Amino acid sequence: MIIDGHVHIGPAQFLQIDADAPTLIDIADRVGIDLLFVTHVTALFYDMREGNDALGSELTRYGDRLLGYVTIPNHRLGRTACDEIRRCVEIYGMRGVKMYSHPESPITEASSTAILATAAELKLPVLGHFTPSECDVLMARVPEVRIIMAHMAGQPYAFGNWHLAVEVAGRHPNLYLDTGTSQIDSGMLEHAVEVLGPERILFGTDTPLLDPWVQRAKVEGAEFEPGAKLLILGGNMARLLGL
Amino acid sequence: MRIDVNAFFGHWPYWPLPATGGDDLLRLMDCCLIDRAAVTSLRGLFGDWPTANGEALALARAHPDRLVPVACLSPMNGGGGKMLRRLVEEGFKACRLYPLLLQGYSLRSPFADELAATAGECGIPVIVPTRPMMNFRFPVLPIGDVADLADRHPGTAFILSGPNYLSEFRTAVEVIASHVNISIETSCMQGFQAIARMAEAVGAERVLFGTGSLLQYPACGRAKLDHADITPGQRALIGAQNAERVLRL
Repeated sequence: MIIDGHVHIGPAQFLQIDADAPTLIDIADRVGIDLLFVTHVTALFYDMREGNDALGSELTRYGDRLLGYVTIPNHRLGRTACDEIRRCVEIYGMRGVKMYSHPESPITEASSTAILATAAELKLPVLGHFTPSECDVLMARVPEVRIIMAHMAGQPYAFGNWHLAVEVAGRHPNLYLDTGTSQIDSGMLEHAVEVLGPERILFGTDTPLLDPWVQRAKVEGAEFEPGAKLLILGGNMARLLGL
Repeated sequence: MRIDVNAFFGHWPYWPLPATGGDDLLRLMDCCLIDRAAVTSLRGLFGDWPTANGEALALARAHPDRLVPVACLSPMNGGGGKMLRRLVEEGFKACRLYPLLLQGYSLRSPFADELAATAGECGIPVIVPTRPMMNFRFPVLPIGDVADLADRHPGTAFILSGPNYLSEFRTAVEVIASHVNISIETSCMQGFQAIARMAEAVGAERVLFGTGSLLQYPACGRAKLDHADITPGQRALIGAQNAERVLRL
């Protein structure tokens, strides 16, 4: 089973994307992806509750193909964000949390701690748009939360230091790496597997921003054993979610 | 048939590449069903372009059916039009320019103009990377600088390399649409169906297949072309026929 752990749904003019569930499922069918772990763009960049409800509605219709992230656009939402996580888990059965860090509101502010602790309590993985250094701080504060470092350090642009991402993940057993990034550097996945083992690397495509074919080829074309590729492409996420 | 117009061999200063030599490149080309590649030695980007060109030529001569040598020149160590002419006589089919931060000159410099003019006279394209690979944390070369150079040398063919992000993609489309002598290679284009969108915007005959191997996974470059929503005819153009025409293979 192939699980794409990093997918966006909904409209965002500034990213020039607007994909609904049927569109994403059609893409997934063509690429050979079974499950899509999805975050809603409206929740990310406009209104948290509106976006999460929109995703929740899609989950009720396409629950056999979509998994939902509760999207928390900003940790400064504090208790409201914690309540939103509980609400979306209870009503829609969402399975993870998506969070952003911005230079204008860095995730290492203390208000993120309660949100991460809530995710940990509910056993939800957090797809975090965080740098390796931010992950280092956050994992030290809430070591039991499982954070998936979005883009394997390649954010906000592909200037990523994936060596540092791997190094930081080596210090924190609950820190995972997302392969979805425009970085396709020769050796990046081989290095991560060599240092961390394949169990903490999770396949993601960042569809519809990035080309999912490229992201799948990055994993399948890397030079390590096929069993490791199966873990990365879906086995690890299935284990993380208890599927 | 697939011809990769953006391939390298050698070492990279920022991390140890898992594959470095010509044999490695050929092995990966085989794995990814890439028939031919236009290659430059990475030694030429940062350090010693004369030695790099010698390495690229020797490798291409050892595998003439697979590899096409691409020269790299800078103003240092006697680079210029006369040298480029000699390199073309030796068998080089294109040249690469790495101005600004990497090699310390401007595309508005007399060196760049001399090289572009000579390339046009020799009938070889000039490849201008805005970034040498996708993951590169130095400022990128403005696409407008390439357009200005192409304006001054309408008889020379330029291959733009490196654009990816939305604003870069749009600028590249504008520049290619307004310059008949500029085309683009695909190695850094990572957006959703980027090849199909570029082909629709500027025409498939202006898009060339590139992978960035050995710096980047060639399987990614291959996958984005194989699964692009384009016609078989467009795929043939982008995959090989445009390279055959531009590189005069």
